[in-house]
Amino acid sequence: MRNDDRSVALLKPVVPVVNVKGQYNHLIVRMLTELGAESSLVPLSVSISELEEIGFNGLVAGGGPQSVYEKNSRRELSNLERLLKENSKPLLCICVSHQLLAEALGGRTGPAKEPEYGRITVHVDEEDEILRGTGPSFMAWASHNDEVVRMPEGFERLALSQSCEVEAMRSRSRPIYGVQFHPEVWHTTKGRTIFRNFVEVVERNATSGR
Amino acid sequence: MTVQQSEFDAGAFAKSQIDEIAQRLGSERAIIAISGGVDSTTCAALAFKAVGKNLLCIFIDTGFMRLDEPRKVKALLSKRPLALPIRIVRAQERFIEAIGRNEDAEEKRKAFRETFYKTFSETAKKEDCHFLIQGTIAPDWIETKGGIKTQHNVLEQIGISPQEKYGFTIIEPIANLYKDQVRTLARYLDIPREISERQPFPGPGLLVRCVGRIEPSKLKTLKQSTQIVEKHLATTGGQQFFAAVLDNQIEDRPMKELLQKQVSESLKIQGREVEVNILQNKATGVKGDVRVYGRIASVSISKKHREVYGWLIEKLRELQSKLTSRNPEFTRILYTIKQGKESAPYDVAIRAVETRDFMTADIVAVPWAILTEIAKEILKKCSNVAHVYYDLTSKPPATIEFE
Repeated sequence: MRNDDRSVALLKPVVPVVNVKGQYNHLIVRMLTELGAESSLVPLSVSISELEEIGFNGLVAGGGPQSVYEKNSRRELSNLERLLKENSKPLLCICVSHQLLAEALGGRTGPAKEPEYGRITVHVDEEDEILRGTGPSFMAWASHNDEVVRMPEGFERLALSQSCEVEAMRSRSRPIYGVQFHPEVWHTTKGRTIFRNFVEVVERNATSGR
Repeated sequence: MTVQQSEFDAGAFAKSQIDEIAQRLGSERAIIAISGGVDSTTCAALAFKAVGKNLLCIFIDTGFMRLDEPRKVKALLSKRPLALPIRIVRAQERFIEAIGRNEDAEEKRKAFRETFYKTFSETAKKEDCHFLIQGTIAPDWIETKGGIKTQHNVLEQIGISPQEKYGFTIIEPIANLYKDQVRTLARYLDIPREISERQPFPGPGLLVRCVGRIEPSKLKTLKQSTQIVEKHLATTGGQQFFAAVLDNQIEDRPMKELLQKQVSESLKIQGREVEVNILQNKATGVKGDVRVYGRIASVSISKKHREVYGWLIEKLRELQSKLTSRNPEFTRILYTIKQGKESAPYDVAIRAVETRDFMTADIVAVPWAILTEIAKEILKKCSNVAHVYYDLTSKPPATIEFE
């Protein structure tokens, strides 16, 4: 929907969503829009300069059907992988993008010992920033065959579940986050809180950068 | 800066879509595909406001409707306040013939889509219409594009040109909305509550709940079971509830023993009190954003434990989660409520889910007493049913419908 009030429009943080072709990518746009951000889907082939043209303040990368250690999938995701490395704005990576983020920055992803489909309980061990207000645990929805088996250097774990060691992680030095579950779906009880936290990080970052 | 909430603005949305439809159609006439559901009726209300008498609403009777549905829908939509110009096109035989003896879920869905658009194409030519308006919503194109399942109302998004193939341009005013947003829009447009709050019904209707090959007696059993389930679950069944009919045919596979062991461990019941069967029918599921046309397992436990576990829905949820996680080819876990005549040809599964937008779903903890009552009634009225199950599977790894 168009917003004709320009003074309001200027205050809206711009947070595009990279469409990694998963089922819930469009729901991320809905969530961000409902939280007052300006959001739309951008293709896997998007470049940093194209993102700069639309004036992005932060970026979300969604889930997808790929397996990041499989050759063809990795090729399909090569542009996104480069983007994740080059980007300097706040970044939230979900599901496959979370796994790709781990690989891109020197960690490792492999097949999950126990894949998770549907309801899981996420146990929060670090509430700071992105998971603020979600602890000690919450019900979430997941859908993944792979998982992060080793986090990149300089990352810390924020949450885990019974069958998955890294449900959420972040960089210690930059506003970069990865989550294995899907905060954008309705069944994830604290999903909105997580996105609200992320949008606030984006806004703080945009303000301090001015 | 503080984060501000902006909910879906139905007024602004309606205005922009009415303007756009009016502009695109000019003085042209258009037909709209209507089912009596909230999506297509909301689109019809928008289009009617935009072009008035230049709109013709077409309801195709595919033969996969519920008992008496075409007549009820026509009566509801043509009376005030909607007062839509509606016509029913009868095409039952065509659909039955196109689907034929196909057992595969995707082939059935594709045959349905093809017949659906061919029928519209003929009507459009007769009426000299060059536009078709339809109530496709976000999950429809997302699931079709993602290769999870073919929805009957998605063409352009997967590279099929409606102009070339069927001779009309398609307009989809609500393609970016989800079900709850459509309901908000419907309420804003003063669409009667019977429609704005109506229980969703899939485009291909009972076709996707008649699992595997279609047979007249199977379809009849499904219609009867549907009526029974809808009657009992109207207030306790969550956002979506229905019956599906399956073949009472099982596979003889070594897998069975492993599954039995997993069930007995998970529920802490002795192995001899547990029976797992692998059904011959398959069902559509989704695991990690990938379509899995998967196996269905039915879990039966001995009578004395069955009543107890019927109440322990958390245990059964956990069981479903373990079985579908450990066995990649399984996407549905059914739990036996009651057993009828073992030699009967069909089984019935009851499904009830909680969902906002149909993208994810959780099963509803329907009281066990209600489930047994439904099962009893189905077994009494349909003598060709062997087992009545409750579907324990969330989405993912299942989808909401069976096919």
